[in-house]
Amino acid sequence: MSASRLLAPFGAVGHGIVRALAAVRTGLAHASGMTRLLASANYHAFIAPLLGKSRLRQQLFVTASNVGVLSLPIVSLISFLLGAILVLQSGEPLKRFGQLQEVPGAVALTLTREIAPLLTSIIMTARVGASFTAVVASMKVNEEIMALETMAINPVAYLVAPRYLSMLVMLPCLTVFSNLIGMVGGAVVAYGVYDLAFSVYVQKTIEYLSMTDFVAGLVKAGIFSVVITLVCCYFGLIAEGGPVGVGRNIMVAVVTTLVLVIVGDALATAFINNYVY
Amino acid sequence: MEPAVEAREITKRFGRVKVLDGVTFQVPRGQTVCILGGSGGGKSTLLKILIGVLEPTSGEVLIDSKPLHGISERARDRMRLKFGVMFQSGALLNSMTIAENVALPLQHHTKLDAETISTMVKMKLQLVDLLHAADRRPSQISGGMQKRAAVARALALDPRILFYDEPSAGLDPIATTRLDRLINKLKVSMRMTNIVVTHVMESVRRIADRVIMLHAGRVVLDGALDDLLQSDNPLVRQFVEGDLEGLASESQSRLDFHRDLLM
Repeated sequence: MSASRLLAPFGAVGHGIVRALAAVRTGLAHASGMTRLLASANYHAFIAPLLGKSRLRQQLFVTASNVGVLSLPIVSLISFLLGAILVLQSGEPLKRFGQLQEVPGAVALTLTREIAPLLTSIIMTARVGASFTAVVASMKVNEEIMALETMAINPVAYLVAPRYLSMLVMLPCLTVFSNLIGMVGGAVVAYGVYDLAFSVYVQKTIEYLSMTDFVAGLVKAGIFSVVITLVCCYFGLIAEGGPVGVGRNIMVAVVTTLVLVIVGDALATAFINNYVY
Repeated sequence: MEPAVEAREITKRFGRVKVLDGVTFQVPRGQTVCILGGSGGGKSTLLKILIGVLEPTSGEVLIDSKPLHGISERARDRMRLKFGVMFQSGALLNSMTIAENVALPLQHHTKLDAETISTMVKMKLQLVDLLHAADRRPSQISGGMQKRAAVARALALDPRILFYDEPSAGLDPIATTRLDRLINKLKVSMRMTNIVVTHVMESVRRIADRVIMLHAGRVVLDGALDDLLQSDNPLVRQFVEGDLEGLASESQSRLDFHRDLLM
């Protein structure tokens, strides 16, 4: 056996280590870039307007309308169906044990604590986050962001801050809607399939739900809103390489956001279970 | 009189590749200076450094005798108000109409009311002969019109210096002539200092007072238009006459060949 064949496995391991180190380095560079973007977005969203240095209001209404109002139909539809599915899935086993009246409580807790904030964030990542990356990335490759810089218009103030604020306000609002509509969906199916009266459904829901459940879900939604805007705008701002680069960064932004949202959800749930309930 | 723009010993490296090597020149006030050179000669990199979107590895750029690099972001933003830039693609914001594009710098940097801004926008669009296209979006007008709209936007805050990146690129001869006339008109009527990055010799003949020619990141000629046209430098002659054979193409093809061989 020749020496090169004997050494081949070591070469492969070496290549693997080099690639892993390069991936870690890239990850750290992205984390550093996103941290700086977060600091800058916070400054332009909260501090600059107080100093009278912002034109935020001009864009805020349009962006908030796109992020919030126009997302309402899809969030409503999916929340209604999920509420209905939760009742169908939990209704049958609970009915077998004669515990059908526990269905509204189980659905309400699952929705407020977990499903509504997570589902709304996933919808917003696909519907709004992807469009954030697409718009910002297209502007980057078309030199529009460079043009803003040469006009002394800060791209973070002009592009990121209104999106950041809109998402921060609208995602928790949409989560509230998702909770309510999910419960309505559950109540409709509970009445239609299991003959559970609306009044009983509402009474049981109120009995089980506490304000803590509701607020915990909204806090999660607030955290996810920061993650979605930050990651999606960041990958837009660093786009290069024409249409291929725009497409690649949209994909990376959506995948990264979904992973971070679910990791964030796991951490937030662990924290809330240990320290809040 | 102090120069409008001055580049002092500008060097720029990307990794191990030196793109600009000690580039030094001055742009006198109220003149049109063309920065020439073949593809890959460092023109675009130099322009990005001159407008403050790219940091030089060493050297400095002075606008009105004040440094553009190595200063705070706020100070650089103040410097940027002294000049306008017309990008190769126009770089108009596609989500806005032409009028909204021109109004953007006025809305951000002045406290003028909407009516005054609207009047100023009309004046700028009239200057570039685009008043009729005020309500159209960039995608609804031709390439030449987009570039003139970009000039109108660059003029919004009445700068004294205008940078143009390849103004003739992608335009037909008539649109190119029209844009060249606009550059001359701005120089004569507004005493504008124009810095034009280009490789189109017809345009250079029409607009240039001075020319700076780059090759492989170095200045190979800095002088009046006649100096360019009468130069004995083989590189300059080849560029002016558009010869296929010569030092510029030889060095480029040899470099490409070695690069391909090593890959």
